[in-house]
Amino acid sequence: MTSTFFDRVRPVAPLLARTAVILVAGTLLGYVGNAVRPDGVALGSFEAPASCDGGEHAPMPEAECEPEVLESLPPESPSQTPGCTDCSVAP
Amino acid sequence: MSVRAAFPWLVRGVLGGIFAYAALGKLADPAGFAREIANYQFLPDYAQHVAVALPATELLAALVLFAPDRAWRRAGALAIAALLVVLLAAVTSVVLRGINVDCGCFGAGSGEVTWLTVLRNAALLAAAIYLVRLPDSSGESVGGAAGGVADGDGDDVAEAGRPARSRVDP
Repeated sequence: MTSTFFDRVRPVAPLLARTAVILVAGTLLGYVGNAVRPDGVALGSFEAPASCDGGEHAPMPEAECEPEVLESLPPESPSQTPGCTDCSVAP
Repeated sequence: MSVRAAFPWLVRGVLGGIFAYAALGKLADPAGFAREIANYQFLPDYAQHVAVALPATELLAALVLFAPDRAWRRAGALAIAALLVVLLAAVTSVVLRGINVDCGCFGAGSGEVTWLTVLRNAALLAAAIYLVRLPDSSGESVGGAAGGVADGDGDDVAEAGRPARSRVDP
């Protein structure tokens, strides 16, 4: 005798139903709480921040957002660069 | 309560405490949390909805972990496991894509997402699965002459008049 999918699910159905109740109730509570909060999230007008302009840990795919590689000069070169008044030369 | 019977409550306390703390941290700054979710670049169009729904769901599930009814406690653990599967997928995706993003796991200042974050979420998921799969007879102790039976959680159920035996049903 083969057991159907429903036969296998039936024993855990109450557990799944309770879990669904928790998840749905939590979601509803979240929306209700957000609606009554003055500093809640604006659901209709929220705009995701653009890449690479966020805070300390903003999304930066390293390949796209790496800073420009500065030109590396030999120690004697900066002293020969005209107009470079605050160059520091490594000893 | 024996050590064996107390262990599930210890796991419950740690898991519930972490989830409640995480939820309160997120609830303190919902707009900031929404931005952090958007930074994950994981369903960015729904970031604001996740930011609204996730902390309250985490808090509710954490509270249900301590419900008097065992069936609800299991459901709370399963709800936390379900949340952790999604969170684990999100942080793993971020690490694999090499995105440098603030975790937001405990609100602002949670540090960036690393493999350690993935490992932590995996450990929490294991704890939640343990609570869901906790055998009804684990840590079982037969309670004296009255025939009280423990279900592994230390909340003995008096079954007066029945012979002392292993309890199999939830």
